[in-house]
This record gives sequence, structure tokens and C-alpha cells, in this order.
Amino acid sequence: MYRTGPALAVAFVAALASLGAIGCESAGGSCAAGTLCECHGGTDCYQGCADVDDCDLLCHNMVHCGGVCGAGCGLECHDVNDCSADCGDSCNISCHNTVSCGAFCGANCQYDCHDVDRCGVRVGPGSLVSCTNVTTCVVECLGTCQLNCNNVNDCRVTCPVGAPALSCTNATLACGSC
Amino acid sequence: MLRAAFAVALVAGLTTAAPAARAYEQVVVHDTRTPIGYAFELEPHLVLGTAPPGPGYGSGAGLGVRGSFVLAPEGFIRGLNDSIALGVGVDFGRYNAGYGFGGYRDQCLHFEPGPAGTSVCTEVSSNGGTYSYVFAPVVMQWNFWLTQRFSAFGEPGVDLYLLSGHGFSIGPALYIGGRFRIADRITLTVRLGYPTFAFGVSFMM
Repeated sequence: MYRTGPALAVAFVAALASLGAIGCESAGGSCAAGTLCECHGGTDCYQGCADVDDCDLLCHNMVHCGGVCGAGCGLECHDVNDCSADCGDSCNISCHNTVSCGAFCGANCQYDCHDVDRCGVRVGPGSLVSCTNVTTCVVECLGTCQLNCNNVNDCRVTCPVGAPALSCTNATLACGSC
Repeated sequence: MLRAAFAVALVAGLTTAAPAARAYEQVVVHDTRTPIGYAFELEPHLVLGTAPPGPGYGSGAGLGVRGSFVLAPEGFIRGLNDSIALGVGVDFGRYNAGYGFGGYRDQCLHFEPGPAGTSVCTEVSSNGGTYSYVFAPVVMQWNFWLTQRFSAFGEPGVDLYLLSGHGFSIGPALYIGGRFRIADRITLTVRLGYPTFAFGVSFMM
């Protein structure tokens, strides 16, 4: 019985040595393209597109939620406190009935924000942003864009350096041309 | 009263579960001295866990060490071979949400400030993410010396833990375990409970 000690110690050390790191960090998210990935209830939920592009992300009725996606994605968020979206080109994003909506969006983005306290969006060229029933709506355009405000207390757009913000008809602000 | 009932139930259960040991080993549970005289137990071990406390998900594995200082060699119960020790330890576990038994949600790994004072998540975990935990259990170890080879223990206490990216927190810890003596002052030790399971070797000093 007493000679098993050294052998056991060797086996134990070998087992310890063979125990390597399990897995590694990835930031790709878990949603597959072409399917609706819905998250609701609880406190926090942040979804990402495992296939990078063309995901459809929805979250609602919680405290914090958001989505990260590549190009051609649809993101919707409602009935939460804080909602965020980070998307590539040609995304369609809707954020409503929340306290705050924040987003980074690429070119040709369509962003709709309504019944929200604060909307803050940074969009690429060719984007259209709509704010309705919002206290503060701030849009940073990285190229040409249009911002339509309806029943908004503070509606602002900032254009690329050197380009003035244009005030168009129908409560629309624009960078580039109306 | 409760302590005595718990002790009796634990001893009864353990002795029933080990009939072979009871048949062939000298039963010492009614002795007054432990079969291994020691003041300190050092126990390096492998760690397994699932459903970790805090915001992490999944199951994991790792390494750890436990040190138990004998405070009361005579234990709590007269006529029963029990003893009391203070156990402190450090366990590291790497958890993967994909290996969990329950569901998981991805979590935001990086936020950036957006316009109008908003905060935008720009990076999320994949498949629930991975989580690095460091546990620091502090427990009362109540030992029951049943035979020359076999002893059992219960360990209620608390577990301080550090989750990478989330800071420190504290939670309950509760374990039961057993030792099988393989050398004069060496035992194989198994510990089951929450938040971790452990399998190791104890060196009695």
C-alpha cells in the first residue's frame, strides 16, 4: 500500500500538466445568418452574428441589450432601458420604447428611433435616420446622410469636417445634399 | 442538536455506503484519537465545476490547493472520532459556456461611447463565452474518522471569487468529501459540492 504514493504523485503531476487551456476567446457571436435570433426577459443580452453578415437580431423587454453584426443585418430593440447596435453596411435598425438608443452603423444604413429619450447614432455615407417622439436625437454622419426629426426636442446632425449641415424641408437635416 | 443529528446521519450514510471498508478495516469512529496525527493538511487537487456563481456560464476545469489547519482534534461530539479544521484554499477554473447544462447568453466584451451619451457594444462573446474564475474558499472542515483508511468530512463556508473582467464577489460554499488513505500520511481526497468538485491528494503534516 505504501509504495503507491510515488506512482500516484507522478500520475497526479502528469494529469496536471496535461490540463491545458480550454477553448479561447472569440467575439463572433452565436447567431446564424438567415434566422431570427430573439432574446427577451432577464437583464442583459448581447447578440452577435456568427456568420458576420446577414443576421436578424431582436431583443426586447429587459434592461440592457444590443447586437453586433456585419453587413446586411436587421436589428430591432424595444422595451428596454439601453439598446445598442454596431453594424456594417446596409443595415436596417429599429430602436423604440427605450430610454437610450446608441448605434454605430456603416454606409447606406436605415435607422429608425421612436418613443425614446436619447438617440445617438453614428452612420456612414448614404444613410437615412429617423427620430420620432424623441427628447434628444444626435446623429454623426461620416458622409452624406439625412436625418428626419418629428416631435423631437433636440435634433442635431454633425457632418464630416468642413461640410455644413443643411436644413431641408419637412424637418429634415442633411449632410451633403437634401 | 442539529449538529449531532447531522453527524449521525452523515456517519450512518457513509458507513452504509462503504460496507467493504467496514468489513475489512478496523472501525475507529468511536475512538478518541484520529488514526493520522496531524496539524495541517495540504491538498493539491484538480477542480471541476458547473454553473459557476456570478455572470459566468457553463462548465470548467482547473487546478487548486487547499490547506486545512486542525483547530479542534477532539471535535464537537464526545465519544465520536471527529475533528474540526479551518480550510482555506485557492482554485482556478476556466469555464466554457458551451459545456454547460443550462442555457447561456452571449455577453458584451467591449463598449465604446456613442453620440448623445450613449454606450455602444462593439464586441460580444461567442457561444456564451469563456470565463476564468479564481475561487478562494474559507470553510469549517468537520471530519469523521470512520476506519483506519477512510474518513469523511463536511465543509460549510464561503467562497470569495474573482471573475475575469467582473471583479470580486462572494458566495456560499458547501462541500462533502472523503479521504482514502494510501500511505502513512497520504490520502486520496474527493470533494463534492458547490461551486466546485475536486479530486486530489492530501499530505498530512
